Amino acid sequence: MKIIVVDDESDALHIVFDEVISRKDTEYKFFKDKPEDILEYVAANVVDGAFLDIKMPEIDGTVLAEKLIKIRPDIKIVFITGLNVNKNDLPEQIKANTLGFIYKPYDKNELINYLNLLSDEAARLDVVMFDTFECTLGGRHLEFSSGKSRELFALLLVYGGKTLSMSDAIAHLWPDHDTEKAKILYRDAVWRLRKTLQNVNFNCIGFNYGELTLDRQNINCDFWNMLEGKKGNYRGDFLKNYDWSTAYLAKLDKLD
Amino acid sequence: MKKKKTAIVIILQVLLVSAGALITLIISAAGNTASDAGKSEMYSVAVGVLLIAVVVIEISSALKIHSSTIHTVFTSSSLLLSYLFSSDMQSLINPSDAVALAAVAEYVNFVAFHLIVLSHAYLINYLYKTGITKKEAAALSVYSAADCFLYFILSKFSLQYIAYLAYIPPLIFIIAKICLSMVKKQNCDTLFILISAILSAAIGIYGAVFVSCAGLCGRHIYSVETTYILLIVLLYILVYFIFITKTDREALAASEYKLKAEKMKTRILREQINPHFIFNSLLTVKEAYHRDMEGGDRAMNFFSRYLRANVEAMSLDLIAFGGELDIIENYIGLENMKREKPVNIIYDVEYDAFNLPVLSLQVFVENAVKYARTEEKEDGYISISSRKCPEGAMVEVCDNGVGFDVNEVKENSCGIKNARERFKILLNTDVQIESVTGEGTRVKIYIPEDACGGGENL
Repeated sequence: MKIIVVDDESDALHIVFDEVISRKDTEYKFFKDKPEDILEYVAANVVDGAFLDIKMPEIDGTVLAEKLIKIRPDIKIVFITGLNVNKNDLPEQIKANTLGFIYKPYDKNELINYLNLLSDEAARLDVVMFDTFECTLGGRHLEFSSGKSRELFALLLVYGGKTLSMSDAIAHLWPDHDTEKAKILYRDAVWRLRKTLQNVNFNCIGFNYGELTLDRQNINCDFWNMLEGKKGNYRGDFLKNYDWSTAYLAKLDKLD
Repeated sequence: MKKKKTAIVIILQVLLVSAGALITLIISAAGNTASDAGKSEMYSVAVGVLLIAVVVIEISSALKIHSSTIHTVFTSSSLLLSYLFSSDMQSLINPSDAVALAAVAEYVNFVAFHLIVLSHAYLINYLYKTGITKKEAAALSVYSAADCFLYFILSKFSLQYIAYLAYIPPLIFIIAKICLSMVKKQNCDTLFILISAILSAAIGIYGAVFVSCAGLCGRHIYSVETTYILLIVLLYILVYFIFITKTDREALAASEYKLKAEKMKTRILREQINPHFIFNSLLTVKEAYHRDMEGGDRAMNFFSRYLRANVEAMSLDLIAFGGELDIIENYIGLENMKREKPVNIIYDVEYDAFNLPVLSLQVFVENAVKYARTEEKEDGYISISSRKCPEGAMVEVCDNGVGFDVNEVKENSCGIKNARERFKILLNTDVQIESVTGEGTRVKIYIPEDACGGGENL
């Protein structure tokens, strides 16, 4: 994958990119806002994505985008801006090619999201359940906004592709709460989990009337691998922090 | 009760129609004979020109403004057709043979009249739905067609006046329906009354034509149709006038509303991102960076997203519920970095497919964060609940903090007053606030159906 970054002044951006782009499949090139150089490069190289500042002294980012699209109709554009703009403010010709916006000051995670979107390969979620629970998406640690939403995700993974009902989830995660309170906490966990996955563009859960179903595609989970008979790192510990995991331990010991 | 009203309306209609017939007879008895025809020629032509002008206005407005005026184009064209083939026009062309209208002209006139009535029926159906239902309008069309056919057959035996008579019951039916819906006060705006007045005048022509054509009074009566057409043209002009002033009024109200909404948005912006908040937040960011880079990045992201959301709110009226929760999450995230004990917020979301005024829930959450002191309690919380309900959606912001005196806040808190106003203006809904000192606060809002849609139940 080849990308270009055009910004007239930002050295800070350079640093962020250097830090973020460790993937081997990505080639990238920085430009100041000299349009001739940029157009020449894009004409000579198959560029997949362009990260463009909007407000630059030599050329406006949206105008540049239009020129780039003329040369490479498939190119995807991400605008970097401190301005208050969104897709509706863009000219019609470049809307379809625009992936989105990174607002200054840059959030590293947003940048990673767009790089994931640009990359041909779908992002892959790696899940470790032996011994504690950890998720990494495209090499990046997945952070949950609450402990219970994280636990709920672990339970969903343990369920595999099987549908998890609200009452099942409550029986596992909030066994000691009264039903009404537990339902509220369940909905809170579901909302947070949904937001967490949405923020990293990895929407692997189907939400439907108090039922959750996991889409197993693009997930690599050591627990699943073990169930399928592959050798894993199982050493007697499984989701150590979660009480309900003991019920599954016996099964794992038998397999081992 | 309903029957009594219906009876009164029917009697009224019969009286109206007979009054029309009576006027016609009086004019004819006053000796409006062929010798006076010359004087009325100019009159007929002038009214005809006016009517043509109305038709032109209707057609051009249908082409340029909105195709919904196609009904009135049809009505006015039918009126013109009927007038061109009326006895007054016939006498212009052929003054010597005034009594006997050319048979074909009379037939066209008869059909055109049916078209006038039908277009009115459909117009009322289009505008008011319940005034005349679609089925009734369809039945009327069938009846009209049958009556036109009947006229064609009967004219061979010179008995066409039976066809005229056969159309009286449906006319009474339409007028009765109109009056009934006026009595019920369902549709009694000015436009509706004017439309029915035009229809009544059209029926007047019918009476005049009927009386003179069926040969009931033995000779042609001049200028009755022309007078009725003049009446209709005047009514049309009145409709235009009312329409223009109404649009002006609406435009004025819209611009006033816009101004008010704009003012409120500026006010809320000023409140949300006041210097105090900005510098405090910057301090939080600075402290976070001093502790570690990762935390600093997080604080910076919370702050910049929150600031951006607030600036974006300037150009937005309504926001999706999920978007509002994102803003709240950033605010809470930043707030929790400032605090030793974090605020416990619960997103009890069951339904999220609805919109609400931007930064409106935020105001109530912020209030709870600032004043409820939930973090001092062992199990203190602030919760945001959303449910689907028959009215549309229900949102609730609750806390189990210290509570406050509701009446005092109603008058003093600018933010809450502002949020209340925006819920009222944008969604026409009220904000219910209950608070019990020592037990907590509950803010409840019903979101009407038209701000909901699509989405999913969680």
